[in-house]
Order: sequence, then C-alpha cells, then structure tokens
Amino acid sequence: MNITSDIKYVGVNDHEIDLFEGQYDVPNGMAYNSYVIADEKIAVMDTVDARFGHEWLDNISAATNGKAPDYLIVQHMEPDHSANIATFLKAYPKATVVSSQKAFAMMMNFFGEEYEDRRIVVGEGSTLSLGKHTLTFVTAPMVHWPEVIVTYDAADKVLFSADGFGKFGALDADEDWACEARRYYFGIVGKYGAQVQALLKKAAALEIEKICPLHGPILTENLGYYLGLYNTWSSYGVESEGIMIAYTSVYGHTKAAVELLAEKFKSKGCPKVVVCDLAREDMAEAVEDAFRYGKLVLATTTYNADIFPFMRTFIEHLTERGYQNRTIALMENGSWAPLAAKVMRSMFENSKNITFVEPVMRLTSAMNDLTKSAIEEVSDELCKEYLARQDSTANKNDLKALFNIGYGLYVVTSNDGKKDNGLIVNTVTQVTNTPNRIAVTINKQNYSHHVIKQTGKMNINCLSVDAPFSVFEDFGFKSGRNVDKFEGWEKYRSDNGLVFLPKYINSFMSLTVEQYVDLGTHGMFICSVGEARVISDLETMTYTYYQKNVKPKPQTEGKKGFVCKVCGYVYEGDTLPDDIVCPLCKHGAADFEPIK
Amino acid sequence: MKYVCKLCGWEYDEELGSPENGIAPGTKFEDLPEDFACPLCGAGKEEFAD
Repeated sequence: MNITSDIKYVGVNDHEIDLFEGQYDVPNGMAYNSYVIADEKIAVMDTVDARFGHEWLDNISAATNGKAPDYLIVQHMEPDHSANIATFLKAYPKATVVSSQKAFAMMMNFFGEEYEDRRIVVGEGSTLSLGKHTLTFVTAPMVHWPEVIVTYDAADKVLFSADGFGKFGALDADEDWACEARRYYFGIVGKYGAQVQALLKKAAALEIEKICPLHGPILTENLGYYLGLYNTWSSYGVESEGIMIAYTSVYGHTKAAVELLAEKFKSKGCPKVVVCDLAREDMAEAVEDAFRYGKLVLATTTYNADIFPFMRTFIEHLTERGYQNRTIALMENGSWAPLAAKVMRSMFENSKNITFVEPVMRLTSAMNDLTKSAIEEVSDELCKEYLARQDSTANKNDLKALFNIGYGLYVVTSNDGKKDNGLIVNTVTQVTNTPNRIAVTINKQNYSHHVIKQTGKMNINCLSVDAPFSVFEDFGFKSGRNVDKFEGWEKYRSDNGLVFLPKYINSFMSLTVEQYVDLGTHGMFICSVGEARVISDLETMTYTYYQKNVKPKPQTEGKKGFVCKVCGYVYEGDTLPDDIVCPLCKHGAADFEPIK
Repeated sequence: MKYVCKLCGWEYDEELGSPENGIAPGTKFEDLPEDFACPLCGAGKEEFAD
C-alpha cells in the first residue's frame, strides 16, 4: 500500500495472537506497522513482531524493488516492534541503525548487541537527510517507554508517531476507530497523560497531514478529530456524558440493586448508562469506560474483610493510570460487617479531584428500604443536571438560580456634610462604556442611601481577596446613623473629598450621580466616573469567595435555637421573637433560620 | 541522597544538583520547588523515590 509516492507500508497483520502485550484480548487481531521511505537513500521505520520477520522482509524487498535499505530507524524498543532488528541487519549488512541513546542501551539488554560500528545516535531535534526527505526526530519520553522517539517528514508532512494514535485490531478489521483506540490508549498509555500532553504540544508546532502509527490505520483525514480525542484523554478530561456502573455480584443481590439504580438513572434523563459486570466482561473495556465518562458508580460486596477481587483489580487499574477529575458513588453489600465502601474510598486517597457522592448505598445481604432511599438520593444527585434540563422533571421555580448571579463586593463611601459614612454592597455594575456609567443600588433602609441621594457623590472601593471579616463587621453590621464606622481606620481622601480605604481594596472610583431610579425598596444610582485608581493586583473578592472563605461558620454545634444567616449570631431559645433585631448586624427575624 | 524518577529512571543526586536545570548542587530533594518536573519525562515530584 502506498501512503505517499515515496512512503510505502510494509507492516503485517496478526490474527494468531491470543493476548496482546500479554494481557489484552484482541478479537480482531493486531497490526504491526512498518514503513519504507524510498528516496536517494532508503529508510525503514521500525521492525515487526518476532513471528512475522520473513513476511516483513519480503514486504521490504517488494517495496524497494530489491534495493537494499540504508537505514533502520528504531523509534521504540518494545519487542512487538524491535524483535527483528538483528534479522534486518543480517539481511542488509551495509545498513545503519538510527535510534536514541536509551534505545541502544536496551538493545544491549535485549540482544547483547548495541551496534557501535553501524549506528547513528539521535536526540531531540536531530535530523537525517534521505535526499528530498529530511527526517526530524522528536523525543517522546514515557509515551509509553523512556527511549521512544517519533519522526517527522517535512516533505510529505507525515508524523511517524510510534505507539501514539494506535489501536487494537488488524488493518483488515472493519470497526469504529475510537472504541478500540480508547481501550488501547487507557490500557497501554493511560498512566502517561502528562507525557502525552508534552508530545502533543511539540506536535502542534508541526504541519502534519498524515499520521503513521505502529498499530492501527494510517490517519489521513480529519486529523483534528484524533488530536482532539488524544487531548481529552491525556488531560483526564471527560469525553462523553453519562454514568458508568461497575459492579461485582456473587448471588445476584447486588446486581438487582445495580439494575434498579441504572433504571433510575435512565428515568431521570441520563443520556447514557453503561453497566459492567467486572467478573465477566473485558477488564480493559471497563477501564476504558471509566475514563470515558465523568461519573462512576462502584458496587461490590465485602469479601474477606476487603472487597471482591475483580473490583480491587479494577480500581487498581484506574488509580495506576492516574484516574482523576471525576465523581464516584459507592454501593456496598455485606452480610455481617459491611466495609466495602470504606475500602473503595481509601483506594482513591491519593487520586486528584475525586468527588464522592453521599450517601453510600448499602445492602445487608439484599436490598432493603434504606438501600432504596439511598438509591433515590444518589440518582437525584448524579442526575441533577439531566433532571433540570428535562421539561417533565425540571423545577421551574427554583429561585436559588438568583444566587448564581456573580458579584464583587464594594465599600461605598459618602459624607453627609458632618461625617464620613460607608457600607458594603454587592450591587455595583458598569452599565455603559461610551461614556462609562456605573449603576449602584442601595437599600433605602441604609443611611448611605439618604446621604447619596442628597449629595450626589460616592466612592466605590473594590474589596480584594485579602479583606478580613472585620471589614464586614465594621461596614456591614453597624449603622452610620449612630456610629463612626471609620473609627480605627486611617483615612485617605480622593479629589472629591470622600474616603478611600487604606488597604484591602484593589481599586476605587469616584462617582457622580446622573440619574436616580426609585425601585421601591431600593434606589438605583446611575453615575458617571470621575477619578479612578488601581491600587493593587490582587483579585476582587466575589460574593461566593466571601461566603466560602471569609464569613465565619456559625457556631451552632450543640446549640438549640436560631442562627442569623447574615452574620452567624446564635439566638438560643425555643421560639424566635417576631420583632427580633440581630444585635450584631441589625437584620430582622426574616434572616434567621432554625439550627438543625 | 539519590532520588530516581519511577517513570523513566532519571536520577537526581542531591550532592550534584542539576545546574543545567537551575538546581544548585547540594539542593535537598524536599527543597526542590513543588512544580519541579523530571527533565527527561516531565513527571512530578510525587513520582520520585529514594
């Protein structure tokens, strides 16, 4: 087969192999690819598996019309590609071996020979000219062995990618590329995501029209598709929407619970549910699916105070390959002392960015009502976005959506003619830019609302992420009618005479009110921008950041009563007085909730 | 003390450091920056063993 006018295929198909790499079931066999580049000099890319040496040498002879090749380029030393190095060099006594330093050291280990007198050692960026074709070598350490090099031919824009972009299946197998390429990738290369990313970065700088791997078909069109998949796989990203349930079941009870769970997922709108019996189905396919989807359910029985062996093997395959960035739910069975969930959870303790969904779904020999309610909770949680997208199941009145509007936090300063005042609001937005206008909305109950309506001036100070809770206590929980909020603060003034804060802000702007909009409970001031200063490079504190990192968690442990949602003040008692005013932040009963 | 990258076999010798990578001789392994990567294969510190 011709790949280009000068590049010919001389590889072989293998339909005899039972387990590839000693472990993978390959029902459609394997291909060992090798290529001839026929130019003024002739180069052969890699060799083939030990059992096909003669067929391969015949292929080379046919491709070169009997002319002797000048170079054997060894990109990878794994025996399915390197086994026939000596055979080739015997057939072609004048040929030179081209490879990496590490590869020659391996040849010494494998064959007892490192060809010092008939070799060229190449490294990153080395080149070899064949005439029209100049080959450039690129190292690809740990994709998936340390000695690996890949080769770029600028003349035909071909990347010889070694094991990268390969797949299981001989070249006469008529099957989808992605499925067997994914099983191959995660099985063989899965651990080396970072190293594959490094190689993809180097490849991005090359103009590539064809990819010639050492297994699977030559890729000639739509290369963006293959590169995209490799990018997703090697960055441990989620490729497909859906949930995988991997289980072991000895007598069918765990299996029944798994089937119920799968039904729940489907009825709650999950676009794809994959169920895998780890004992009976292909383990490499199970591993492939776990990496393909973003959500995984692991269901197994407690066994010998540990977990069922196929589940242990499966999880070890995942963690060994750097499983990360995913959500996992656990189902355990135990007829006397269930601890499978604890064991499974601990197996992921060194895995990055794994979120466990609660609760654990537990069977005590068989499913019971507790199992069923846990299944309901877990399926609600894992199908949250599917339920919300589906017209028939979505909560269309979920006002919590409003909490997802993002905000910064601002200290708004003003002066009533006698003293300075300030308050904290999140409701500041730029509304136009020709000219620049900013809208600031303030609750009419705040003294600042009155002051700004009278004076028409304010400064907005953007709080940065270093602002401590005391800033919120000083400006948020007191009233400027009674108190000097700036006590203890060093005051700087901008040209308009108003205060800007000496620290904890990254910028401030002086605003002049142009329009006032009465919104009933609030007033919106639409302003032009005068003085504007950037004080620091620190990030603006968002409302979310404040809730997560600054606002202290209310000390409600062991207390009975109500807690103020605004500032955390705890009111201990059986009933909350209707007219209660929070002593810390002055908010009313509506902002209290019972302590659970 | 010598540390080996478990992935590719590159050796870090504390006594020698790695001057070509900006690491002075005598730099202890635990003092290498958090984002230190094996110069051969890019593996992180967590893949090294003594």
